[in-house]
Amino acid sequence: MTSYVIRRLFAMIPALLGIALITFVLMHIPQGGPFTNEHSDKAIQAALNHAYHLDEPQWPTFIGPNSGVWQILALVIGVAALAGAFFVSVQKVKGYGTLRPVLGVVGGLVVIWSILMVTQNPGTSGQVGFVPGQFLNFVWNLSHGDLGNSFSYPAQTVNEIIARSAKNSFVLGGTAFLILIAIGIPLGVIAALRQNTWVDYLATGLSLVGYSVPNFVMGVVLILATGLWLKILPIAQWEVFPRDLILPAVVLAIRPLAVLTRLTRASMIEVLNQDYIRTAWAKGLQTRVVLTRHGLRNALLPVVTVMGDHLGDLVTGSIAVEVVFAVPGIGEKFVTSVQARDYTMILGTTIFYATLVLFINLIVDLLYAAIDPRIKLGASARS
Amino acid sequence: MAVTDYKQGQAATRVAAPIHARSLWYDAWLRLRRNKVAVASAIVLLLLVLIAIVFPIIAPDSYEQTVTDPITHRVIQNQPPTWAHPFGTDLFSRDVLSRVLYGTRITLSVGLICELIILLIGVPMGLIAGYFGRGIDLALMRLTDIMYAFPIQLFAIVMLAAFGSSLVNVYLAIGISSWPPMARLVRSQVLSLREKEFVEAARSIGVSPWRIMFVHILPNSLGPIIVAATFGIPFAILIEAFLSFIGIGVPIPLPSWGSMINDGRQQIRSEPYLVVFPSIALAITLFAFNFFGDGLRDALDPRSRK
Repeated sequence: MTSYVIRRLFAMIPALLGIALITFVLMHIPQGGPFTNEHSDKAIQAALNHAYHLDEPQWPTFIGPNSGVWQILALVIGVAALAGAFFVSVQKVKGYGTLRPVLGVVGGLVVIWSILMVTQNPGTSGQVGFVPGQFLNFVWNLSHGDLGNSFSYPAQTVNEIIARSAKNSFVLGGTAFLILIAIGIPLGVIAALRQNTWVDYLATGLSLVGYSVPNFVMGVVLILATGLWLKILPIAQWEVFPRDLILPAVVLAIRPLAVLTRLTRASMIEVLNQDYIRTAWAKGLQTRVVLTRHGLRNALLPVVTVMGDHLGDLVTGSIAVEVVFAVPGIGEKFVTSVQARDYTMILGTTIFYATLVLFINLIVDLLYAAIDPRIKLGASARS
Repeated sequence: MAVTDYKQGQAATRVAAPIHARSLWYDAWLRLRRNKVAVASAIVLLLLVLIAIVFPIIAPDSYEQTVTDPITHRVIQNQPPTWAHPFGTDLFSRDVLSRVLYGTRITLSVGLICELIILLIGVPMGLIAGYFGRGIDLALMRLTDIMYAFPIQLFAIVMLAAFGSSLVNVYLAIGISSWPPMARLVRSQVLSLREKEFVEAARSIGVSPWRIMFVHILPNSLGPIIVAATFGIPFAILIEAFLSFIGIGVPIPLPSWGSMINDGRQQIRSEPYLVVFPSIALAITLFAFNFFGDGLRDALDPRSRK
């Protein structure tokens, strides 16, 4: 089990690096630095750019008297690796199955790197020798959990901003998760037991509503209903708990809840028609035992696999829900930073969210392994 | 003798004729037609398409025109629903009904064009990865895995923040961020069809790989692709509404339902009708697509019916 967890954690690295790379490249496309509008004085702009390391080259490079030699050397190594990949596949050298992709990928990356070195803006940082550049620094900081500085909130790091608002977001997400489990599974089971009765139609109908209507629309309409017409809840407040937590948590839970109810119902119906359930009834087992231990436990297996893709909705859905209910959380800060074009904050928060979603998927996979007795993790040396 | 034989043969075929073979698609069409909910949502969708095509032709600038009182010639700002303006007017004195109707075109175009982009990227990706296998499969699927791990909302936000908000960029941002599930679906279809006899037969008579992929394999996996595409449209609409709601999607003054809901939210205490009508329009559209998708799935894949 431990080795499986470690393996899965390592498998997350390429995905995270890919996301970091894509986001980094996209966030460096906008022309003009983030400070060009704020200060017309060139000296102040230069000082700010220097303070935020924006005057460094984006990609690792060599600067100085011998830089040309190194750049050409990198190009030669890259081309040689590509040629080597071609050679081993033509000559069918022993082990070319692994050699070819390794050489090909390394060669391709080095060639792209050497092209980037020559074409990029070398910057004005005044560093000499091997310069890691903005991307490597960013990845290096990322590996320490440092997401960088915010542009629009000077003297604050993205970490500080996220840490300050994280508590509210996690309280919201956690409550939504509890609501999801506490309502979704029982509702699905009841709908399956009372198949084709009004209970069933109500549950499936509600789940279709929950799946179709976006959560921010649901939020706005519920605010309208409870705050303006019924006057039972204040409009978008975050002060008294649990009163102000209920509505946003329910709205955040609705979309995954709809999926969970539908899946549980379908899976439970299928399981209840199995022979072993008939056997369990025939043995005279109690209803509770048949339904939970024989029925639900088996019915939940396919549900868990599919839910992995939908639990991420609790993270991405929280962005809009926090805006609607004015919850001072990460999502609200994220939207503010998007509107202010605060690129480091967008970059940092996106990677934070993506990591969170990846970890949720990992936990769901582990959970699946935990409840399915047929899967023995760590014993996969055979495969 | 030969003549009678011939006649008997004729008679035999004439008897057999009424039991003509139904094609798979005709069969699915019959099942779809019997599904009342699916037919109803198809009618709603047709109505929406009609509005989206016709309304902007009848009243091309109505969504940004300021409404004035015919007698006093004053602008009518924030007026609750009346007979002249059934959905009321907004903060900038624009007729909300016109904006909601014009928004149909934007919403449907987002759904259809984004789905087209998804198909154009995802289908070839899945076909090539699944058919050629090995290194190409590995490379394409690693790319798909990375993109799959990137939540669609976040990727779309980052792309729009990088390239700026415009209608075209919204299409591209949603399309480019949502193709991985389609690529995975097509690849899994190809993997199961690749070893079938008819593909082997085609290969043995020297049909080129591209022709096998697009002429032999693709038509046989159309059912699941159509179902996935039908569910992809409301999802793209949902993402667009979300992006416009947080103020980075369709730029003003174009009337996107998402941004109308956000604008109305600022005045929810005094003018609640401003959020109600675009919300209803959005909900109806998404309902219709999802119900129709459900019906289509049941029709094309009878096994999935409960």
